[in-house]
Amino acid sequence: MAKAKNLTDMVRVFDPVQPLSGTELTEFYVDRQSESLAQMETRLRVARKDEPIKLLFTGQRGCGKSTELAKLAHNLRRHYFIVPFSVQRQRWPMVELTYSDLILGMASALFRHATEQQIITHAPAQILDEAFDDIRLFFENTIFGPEISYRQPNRKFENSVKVNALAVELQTKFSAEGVTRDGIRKRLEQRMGELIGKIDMMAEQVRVKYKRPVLFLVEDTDKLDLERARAIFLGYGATLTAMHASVIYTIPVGLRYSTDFNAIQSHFSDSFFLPNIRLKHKDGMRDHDGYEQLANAITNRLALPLIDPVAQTALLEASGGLMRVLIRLTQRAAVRALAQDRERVTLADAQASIEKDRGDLTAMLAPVDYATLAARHLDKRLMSGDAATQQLLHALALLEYRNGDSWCDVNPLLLPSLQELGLAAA
Amino acid sequence: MRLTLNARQDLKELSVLLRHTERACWAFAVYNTSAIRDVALKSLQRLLKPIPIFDFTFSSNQRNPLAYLDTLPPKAGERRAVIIFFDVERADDKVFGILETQRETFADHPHSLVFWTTPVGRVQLARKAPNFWAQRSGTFDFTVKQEDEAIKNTSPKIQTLKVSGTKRARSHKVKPMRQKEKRKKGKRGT
Repeated sequence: MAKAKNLTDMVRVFDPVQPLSGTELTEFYVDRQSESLAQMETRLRVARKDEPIKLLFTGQRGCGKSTELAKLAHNLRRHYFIVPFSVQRQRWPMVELTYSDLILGMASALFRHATEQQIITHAPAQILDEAFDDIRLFFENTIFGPEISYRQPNRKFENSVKVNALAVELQTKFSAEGVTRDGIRKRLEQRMGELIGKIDMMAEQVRVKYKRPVLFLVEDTDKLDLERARAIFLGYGATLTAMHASVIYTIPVGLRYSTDFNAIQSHFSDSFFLPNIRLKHKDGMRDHDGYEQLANAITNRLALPLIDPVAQTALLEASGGLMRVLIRLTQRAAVRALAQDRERVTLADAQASIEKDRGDLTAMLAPVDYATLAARHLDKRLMSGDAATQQLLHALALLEYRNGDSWCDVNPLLLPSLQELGLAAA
Repeated sequence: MRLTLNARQDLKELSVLLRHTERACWAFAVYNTSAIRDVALKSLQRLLKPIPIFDFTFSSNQRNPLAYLDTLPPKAGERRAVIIFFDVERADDKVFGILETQRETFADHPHSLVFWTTPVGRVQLARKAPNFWAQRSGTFDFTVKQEDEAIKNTSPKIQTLKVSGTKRARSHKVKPMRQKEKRKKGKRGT
């Protein structure tokens, strides 16, 4: 998507639904100079090829995790054979997701990725046909078995093509049929070691043939409800990290604050948190770098100056450093300007857009929440054991930042309400 | 009944958003009387012409909006359309679960989605499908002050009973809304 030359383009390029990908990732991406992102990338870069790294990655909703993972994949594409796996894109029911679904999904993604025609034709040499035949048999005999009917691939096809077709078939059947899911889960529970063995075998073939180890990027597991996420990552952490391939799992931010987190983390090589972009330091001083990064998120998308500087500043401050909120606020301001037949976004458009988001956020709060918000605005403490604080972090009424230590503050959209109630200084 | 100045402004903004986005987007239209909702909808249809509009009403036997998207005619799957969802606040947790966990699939469709919801429904959605809610392009306010007796008489509570008669037809027929509207000649039942 090209940079915006007018307000109509602006409505398109400020898209709160899609994370950056492809050319947009090169054109619009903002380097947020995040220490944790740099550490995560370094960790993966310096790892020995035979030393798989297992990472957990989290951050508040809308902070930009998906875009950062896409950027990481782009940066590491010469170091790793990247296998992205998105639970939601499979249309698998996340409300009943189990650890075995995750491993099966990752295996299926690896088999599909390694057998896609463009990858095979670009490979220096064909991956061994016997390995594919072995995986084909595993699909037919173990995953589907005699009870589950499935579309068998054409016998004349090469084994790699058959495996690809079976992986597609699995994805379709698994998303659509509850009985199939239950049958497969039951069978795999007893054969999990065998499935992990197949992943290892394929990962090894990929490593030998492509000279790059496998790195799974598991997305959407941060959207799981906390109980399910705890059951998967605490209950089966050892299994999730058993394969001989590197992997990054996204996890719900709430899990990071839970008392179980140390136990969960013990199975993984490391965990990384993506903080929101800071507009202020903990002491209230302006963070110029944060302003610049957020301003770049707007200007990188514009070919012409389509927004008044005061309007831009108002939007940056209201976003609280949440990338997706900034994108939505800017899009809505452009929509308003367009509706009023203007050619630029003015301060009035920005303020109207901010007011709408403020209305949405205040509608979620109960009167009792304001006392907690006021307390956190004063002390900036994350209070990981405090349920009220955690709930407000989850609702994005409180935003987490980091410089040195982690701290939180009230979402700037809510400050006027606190000031009106006399709970914060004007 | 006429739209307030603010509602007219929001309606214009909603139509600008739906007209100019190229990829999937979703928005929430908040209302508290069915009369206002119907007036706004009619104006929206006019403003969006010739973009096709389809509608879907959540009910006990029509819970999966993704399945609905799959039933759209093949041409509608390729062309961008506006899909209007009603009664999401009357849906059960399973619906919120679908919105929350399948948002990538919604994002893969080329359509713009508009959820008409009451203020209570807005809160429910934000709490029960927080990730879906977080990706909204915005909320558009069509609520009116409730003091007016005439407004009370057309509140969504009463509207539910009337809607239920047409719900089935609406839920199962996949036809562009504007054609259906013409046929019904305003007999929306709401």
